[in-house]
Amino acid sequence: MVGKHNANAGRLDALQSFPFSRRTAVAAAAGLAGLMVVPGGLRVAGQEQSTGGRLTFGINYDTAVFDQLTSGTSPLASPWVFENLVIRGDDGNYEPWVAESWTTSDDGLEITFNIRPGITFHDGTPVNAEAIKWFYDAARDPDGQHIFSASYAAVEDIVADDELVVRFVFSAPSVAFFDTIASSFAGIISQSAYEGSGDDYGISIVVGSGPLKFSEWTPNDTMTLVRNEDYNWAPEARAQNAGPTLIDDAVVRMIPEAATAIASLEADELDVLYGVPVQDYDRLSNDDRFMFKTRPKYGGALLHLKMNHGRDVFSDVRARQAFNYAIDREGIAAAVYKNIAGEAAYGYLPPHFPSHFEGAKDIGYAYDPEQAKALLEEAGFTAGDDSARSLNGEPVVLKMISTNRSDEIAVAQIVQTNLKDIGIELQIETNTPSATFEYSQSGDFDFYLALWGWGSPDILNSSFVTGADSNRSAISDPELDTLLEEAIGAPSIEELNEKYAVADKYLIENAMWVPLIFQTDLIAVRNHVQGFDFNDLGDPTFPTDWSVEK
Amino acid sequence: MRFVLRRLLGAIPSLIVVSIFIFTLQHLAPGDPTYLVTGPVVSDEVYQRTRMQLGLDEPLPVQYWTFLSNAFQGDLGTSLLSKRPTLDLIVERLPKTLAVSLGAMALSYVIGMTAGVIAAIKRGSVWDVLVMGIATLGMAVPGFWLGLMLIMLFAVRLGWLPASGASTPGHFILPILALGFGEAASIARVIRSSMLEAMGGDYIRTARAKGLREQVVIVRHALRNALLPVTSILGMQIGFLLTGAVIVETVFGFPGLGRLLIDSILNKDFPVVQGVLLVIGLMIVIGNFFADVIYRFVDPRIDFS
Repeated sequence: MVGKHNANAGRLDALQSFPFSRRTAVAAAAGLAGLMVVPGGLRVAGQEQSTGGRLTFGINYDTAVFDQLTSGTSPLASPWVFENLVIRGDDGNYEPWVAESWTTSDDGLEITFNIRPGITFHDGTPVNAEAIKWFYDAARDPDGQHIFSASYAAVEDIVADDELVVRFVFSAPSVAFFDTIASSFAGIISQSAYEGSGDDYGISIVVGSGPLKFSEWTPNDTMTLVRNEDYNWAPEARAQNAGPTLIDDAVVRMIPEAATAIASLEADELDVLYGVPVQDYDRLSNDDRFMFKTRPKYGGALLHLKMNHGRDVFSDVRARQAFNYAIDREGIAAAVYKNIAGEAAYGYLPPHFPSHFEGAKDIGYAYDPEQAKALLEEAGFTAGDDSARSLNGEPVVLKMISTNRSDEIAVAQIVQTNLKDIGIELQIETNTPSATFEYSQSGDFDFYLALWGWGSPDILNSSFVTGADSNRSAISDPELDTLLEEAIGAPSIEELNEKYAVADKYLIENAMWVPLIFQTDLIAVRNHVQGFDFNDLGDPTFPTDWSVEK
Repeated sequence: MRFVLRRLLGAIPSLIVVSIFIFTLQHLAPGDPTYLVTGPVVSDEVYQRTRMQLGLDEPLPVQYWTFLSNAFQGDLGTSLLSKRPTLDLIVERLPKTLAVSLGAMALSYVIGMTAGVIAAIKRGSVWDVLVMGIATLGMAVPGFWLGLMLIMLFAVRLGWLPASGASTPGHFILPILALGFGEAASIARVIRSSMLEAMGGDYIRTARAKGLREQVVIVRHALRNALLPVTSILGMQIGFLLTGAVIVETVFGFPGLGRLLIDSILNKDFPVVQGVLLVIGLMIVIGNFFADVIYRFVDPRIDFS
């Protein structure tokens, strides 16, 4: 992963060479407004520095409808078309965006946001307190169709105190609220466009306030976005160019077949391709036309083996630890992911999360089949003459369910071999992702090879708290419940991170699952693209900083 | 006219059987479409309420009757994924699939018939061996592999044609080639066999004895009779081309009906799967009807009464 995003080369020389910060430059330029019309004078925004050109992106998945208030959001285009109240900075702290500042009450039950003046939606309507109240009321409506409405459960009320002041009232302090409002599902929609477009909204009409405007879209094919000429309020924490974008437009093309996507890249039809298969990495990385960027997949993707705690075979922690010792994570990372598209995971939270447990690899279960066998013996798994294990006199034959994604099939086969080495027979059932998800809900499995991807540690709550909707493993551990509930209710980000690290450690020590691989997205970028990169957290540079070298 | 009406009325039971088959298979396959609407994380209350709203809590025969009666009124339901009318989704994509399928059919007949006639005329020569060898290869090679090879050659190596998408006429060329090549191969083989049989007939000897030019003998007499077997498989080819489009559209990232079908199956979007398959079934029925009409014109001995 490359480090913090690179400065946009070449296009902002006048501003960057100025001896003051951008803020100071803005203030100075405002006081010397007459210079704005002088050729070569100060530029607050990049209106006269556009390089033009188009950036074409390739991805292998799309949304069915581009509507934040249902379950649809374009995976790439959302943060370019829509804006959020806050944005995550390069250091993980939340920084101003639509909200230029905010205050939190002493009891943590109210957060008041001051909206930046002068922001407009693409249809010309103002981004003000009423607009923001309308959007978040719709997003948190439990009877609505917003997929993450539950994330707003702690919000009791939203009040527009003034034209540009909006106040959120909570039932309990919610530090995690900032993760929610910074996510791509929380980009603010224009109320007038949404209510006035009927069924056309999300298909032929999409209105936000971002640096790129929705132009047209053929679902599952091509989406075109054009420069927002009025845009000049890019978040300072993440953008060097306040706006508008230096590029004229951006096209997102959905190409489901990986080989075709690679061919399109090599045929100069794409500038950026997400999700490059690892088997193509060596060849393309040796091609002078391309450079590679990496980022944590889905913000923090963990491939793991869920163990069904409702089954006797997993009731003993020594057995669960044995399965952890038995599986060669490093071998999987090398064989399936070439140590490029994935790294061995010993903990449950990815290393780039401030909340991950730092000693995960020390106390995690390095590959040791002999230790695995010893633990199984202690837990009552006796080996017969043919080395096959029995428990309470019954042969142990376990079932793993998995999707039919090619990398997961390869991982499943390695796991099968590893378990055979310790005398455990494993049967693998693969199916489409939706069917596999169904099977997981029925509980008819011993192992479930699953992939989760989320940008914040509260994913642990939905997967491990007793009775939680995503707790497919039938885990019920009161001590773990307490740890996770205290973590999500922490009064500060620092305390939240500390508590989640404790929870991460607890999960490892008790071998709740078998964490396998933290996955990395490989992104190929044509060398003439400037300013496009990812920071250590996997967040891309801001669209106003991208350019195409001619 | 009576023939037309009889064929159209006869198509209705076929379509009903097809729809029962589609409907039953979908519901037998694992996966619950409710989650498409609610998202994967949902309370039991919302889950049950959504199933009721979608009519998925009704017995299967009731669900099927609702689907069928709506379909007869032109309502193919609403996509669970996009919330858009299924018919709108089909109408958006059908022209592109038709363009590729009909283009492939035209290409297959032009190339296939030309190659088959040459092979028959030059029987036993190097041309015959070459044509039949390529035809065998064409029938053996999978369409998706051929598609990828065409992309590698014409898009990546030569840069003559685009690799994926459907925004310009040039985008249609490689999918048409990939889809039509296999059908051209089978047509070439059929034409060659039927030409050889036709050219052995007494009427051909008579035509030559009358002093007709060889070109006239082949085209006006032999070929016309050799067309009958090819015409009879026209109806089947329509089906192969439409189903072949599913694979070709995926390979080329082509936003047609085939891609819509695949995506809907994978997402358990029942209304769209049912609607698309019903439309494909209808197109095959219509295609077979036209095949029968063409057959009548090719063979005057056929009496529709």
